[in-house]
Amino acid sequence: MPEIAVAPRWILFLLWPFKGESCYPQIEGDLSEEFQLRVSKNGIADARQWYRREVFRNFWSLTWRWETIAVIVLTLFFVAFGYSTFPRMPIPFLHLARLLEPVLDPLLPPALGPQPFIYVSIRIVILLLPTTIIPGLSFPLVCGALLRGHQRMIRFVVTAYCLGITVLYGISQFDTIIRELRQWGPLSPTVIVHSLPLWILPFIWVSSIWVERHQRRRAIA
Amino acid sequence: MNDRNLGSLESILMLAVLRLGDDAYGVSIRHELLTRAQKDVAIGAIYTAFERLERKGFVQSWLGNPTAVRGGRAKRYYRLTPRGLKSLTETQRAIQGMMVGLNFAGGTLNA
Repeated sequence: MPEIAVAPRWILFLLWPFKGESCYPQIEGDLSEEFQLRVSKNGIADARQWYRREVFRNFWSLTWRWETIAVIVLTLFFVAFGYSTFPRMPIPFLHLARLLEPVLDPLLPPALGPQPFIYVSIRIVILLLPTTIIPGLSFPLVCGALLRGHQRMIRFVVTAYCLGITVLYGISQFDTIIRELRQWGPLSPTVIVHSLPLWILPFIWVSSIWVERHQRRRAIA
Repeated sequence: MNDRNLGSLESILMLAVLRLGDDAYGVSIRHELLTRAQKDVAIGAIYTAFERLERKGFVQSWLGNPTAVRGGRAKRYYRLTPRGLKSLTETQRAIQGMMVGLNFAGGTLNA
């Protein structure tokens, strides 16, 4: 039995955002098959060069589609919206907290004297429900209905956005954060508030992976 | 846009599927495009076009068995539906009708 040559599969990381799409296994299989054909015809060096070039070409052809462009535009919209409100205050995902705070505040029990830690914590949890937990779980569902098979791309861009905005918040308040970390430890109010954009990520990932699996099961059925 | 319209890549892909018969899958279609139409199309672009054609109901696809040479990945075979064949015939008829009286000899239009 002839030995099967090994393709430089590491380059496939470029296609990672498209891994959830129904055509991805076939693209990978076709690339492997054509690679083997080229090995027997032109040699391993030529085949490897061809494989790398083809992965790049596929990356571009899969990127320049309306579905992918729609995901990128949607993300750019979030980023622009987030950064436009950035100088005023650190706000969680979709900046709903700012809109909901005046509505939620009267519903909370009034604090007696200076606000105790438990009061602040309950307030944060109540704010997280409509601003982080519900949007985090529902965002992949909405995107899954509009942009079928792009859950990986959605996870990738939302994670990049949340990390980016958190780093920017962190840099802008670096001195305060260091001072509070020394005084309070990791549970300092500034650290909690500035890391809010990251809190949505577990909910996005859980919901997105569920949607991806559900869509794959339906496609197979 | 009318979903019965076919783009140039879609028409060529459907013709390749017709030519290849039961062996119409990614690699063989790409080779057919390269040898007969001199078009080097990325495999991702081919599958994107096929997804569009499948949504329009012009082609049907099914999975073959996974093989070692494909890294354990299955082939996806394509065939034209009666609706796809009708649309392709209409498109070709329209192009042929518009070509009557035009002479493209030597790669330029000689009216």
